[in-house]
Amino acid sequence: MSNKKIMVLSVVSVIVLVIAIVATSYAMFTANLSGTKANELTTGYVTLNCEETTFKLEDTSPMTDADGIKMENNEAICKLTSTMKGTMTIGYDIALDVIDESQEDGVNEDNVKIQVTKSTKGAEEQPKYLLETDANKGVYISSIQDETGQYNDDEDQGYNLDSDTITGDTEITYKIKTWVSNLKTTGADEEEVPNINESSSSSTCSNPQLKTKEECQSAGEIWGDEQTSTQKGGTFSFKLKITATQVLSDSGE
Amino acid sequence: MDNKKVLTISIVAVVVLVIAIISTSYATFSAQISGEKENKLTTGYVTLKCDEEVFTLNDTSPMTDEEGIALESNEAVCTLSSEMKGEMTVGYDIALDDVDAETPDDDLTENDVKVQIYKITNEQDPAQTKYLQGTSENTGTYIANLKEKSGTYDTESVENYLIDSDKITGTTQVIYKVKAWVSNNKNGVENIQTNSVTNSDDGVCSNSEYNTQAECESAGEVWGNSQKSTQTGGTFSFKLKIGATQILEDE
Amino acid sequence: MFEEKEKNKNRGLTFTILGIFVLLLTSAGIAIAVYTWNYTSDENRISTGDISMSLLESTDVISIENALPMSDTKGKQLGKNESFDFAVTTYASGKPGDINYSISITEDAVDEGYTKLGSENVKVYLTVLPEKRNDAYQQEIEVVAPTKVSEIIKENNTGNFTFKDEQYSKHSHTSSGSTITTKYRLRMWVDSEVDASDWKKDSDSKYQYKLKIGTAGSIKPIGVVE
Repeated sequence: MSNKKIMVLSVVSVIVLVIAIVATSYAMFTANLSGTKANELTTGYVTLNCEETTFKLEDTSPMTDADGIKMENNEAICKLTSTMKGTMTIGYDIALDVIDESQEDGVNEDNVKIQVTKSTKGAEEQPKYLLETDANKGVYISSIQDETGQYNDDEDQGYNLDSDTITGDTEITYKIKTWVSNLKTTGADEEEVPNINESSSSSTCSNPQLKTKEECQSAGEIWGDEQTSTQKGGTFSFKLKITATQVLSDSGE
Repeated sequence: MDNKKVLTISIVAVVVLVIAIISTSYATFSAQISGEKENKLTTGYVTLKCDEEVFTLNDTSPMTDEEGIALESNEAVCTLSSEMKGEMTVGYDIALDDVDAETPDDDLTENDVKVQIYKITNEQDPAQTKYLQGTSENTGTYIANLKEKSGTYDTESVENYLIDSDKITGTTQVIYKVKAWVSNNKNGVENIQTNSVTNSDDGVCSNSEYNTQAECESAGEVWGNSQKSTQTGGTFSFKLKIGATQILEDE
Repeated sequence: MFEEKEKNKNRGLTFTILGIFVLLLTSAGIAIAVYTWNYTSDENRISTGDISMSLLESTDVISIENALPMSDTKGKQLGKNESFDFAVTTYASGKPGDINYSISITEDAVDEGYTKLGSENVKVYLTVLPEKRNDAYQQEIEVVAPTKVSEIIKENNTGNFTFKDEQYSKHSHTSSGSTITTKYRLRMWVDSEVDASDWKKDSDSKYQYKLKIGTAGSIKPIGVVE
């Protein structure tokens, strides 16, 4: 065995070791921090923080993109700040974590729309509209179901809003305006109004407490056949999820 | 500069258009329900008819009321019947029409002709027979006296010579009779009768088909001069007219 | 032996290099620290309420036989057997505000053996019935004055009534879980101006007119200019 070969072997083992160390580090830092505000994780060199604003909007109505965008109190905000000592590149994915608990109700990712903006402190073009949204237009949440990020390992994650890298001290603000839209345009000039159900029942009284025709009519009510059209409401929730990881490869820089 | 203005204007125009479209096509809730119950009405009908009897009286002579009323075949009859499905009140006017329209220039006029007018609402009960326009069982009236009388319900088509105005509802029948004669008085003045004698010197045949003496005589007719005395007569005619219209209850 | 010595020598060298690398990498590892961060926000929630609209049609429909032209005064007094009652009910689980609705008429095909009576010959009249009644016929409120159907239905086969007062075509849902019902009575008759003189007994001139009602409701978004 030549010295060269030994050298090669050594280098290979070192690499294996490096990988082992990296893996260990990864495990060490994979902390689950769901649902706490202003989570910080300090490595001593990097601090990432998301200062968030959440919304709870009850009893809203379906509306146009224009109204949804004009509306207030329908905005989820994450002010993502990084503080770094030394040079490091962090790659991150910001995505929606869809929690539509009531799948059966009328409001779901097929009729909830979002408009996503990103503003970087100090950057010139502000704000930047993400996905297919623009100043006047939102997208259905279902349309981003297959958007995957670049920096997370979860292949099924989807709903990615943005993937980017940061170096040094930065402040990036993500705003996600959310509204319920009942107009799902499936093609040009084609409108579809979901959640309208029509039902007919057997004869009934205009005062539902009166059960017989005689009672009903003698009370001056109307006895007849009823048809009902219903637009079913419901609830839709989501969280924002950020996965950040150090970008080790500096090939791109 | 000008181009910029134009551009701004067109952008504004487009924006307005877009807003207009949104406001008409957009609703946060929309439902459409078509009723299933059928409501219908079916029309009824009203039929009015006048079964009439007319008369043609030739070679009549002037006479008194008594004679005229006693005369037969000088009666115009209109059996007015109504048939109704549904509810309606119909008002009608019955009048003389086309009075002396055929021969207005001859010597027999509305000042010479008298009528007796009456209606029978129940043939079984003569007491219900009603004489109209000032006539009675024994007297008539000159047609000229009716001239100024216009209709009550159908004033447009019944402007004069009114006989009667009345209302009917449901299915019913009324008989109108108009007896007419030439009066021997001319509307209060003694009737003037023109007598004239004409002589024919040229000779005529007793059968007017033959124009020459030879033809006349060979046919066994008499050829000679004749003398004729004429009382100038005339022809008088009239029709009956009915104008009917619906009467609205609240009027 | 030498070979074995060589082997040991090599092994020693390998370990030395390895040790150095490990040392280097350990220190480097601390310095570069492979960094990951996972963050999940609080929940954002949006919800809408249920909204429904119903049309209740009386089983007693208008069925007028032998209709003849009639005055508005008489038409407005047509009784129970010659009028049609229906109710519009809206329900909202939340507070969506005003549900505006319209009431429309649709013409229907006539029965066999009849000729359709022109819509300009038929008048309709719409009233609102009192919420509770002692004598409903006394307390009706006129919302659409007697109007020829032809003035409602213009081009197609459907036309909306024009309400005298918009409060009778609007349900304001200002508290949660509210149900609002408005009861209506429709009357129809042949307009008094119609010339019925050609209506006869025979089938060629038997006329008929049929209609159905319908309703359409909507909530206009707030802030959008009409």
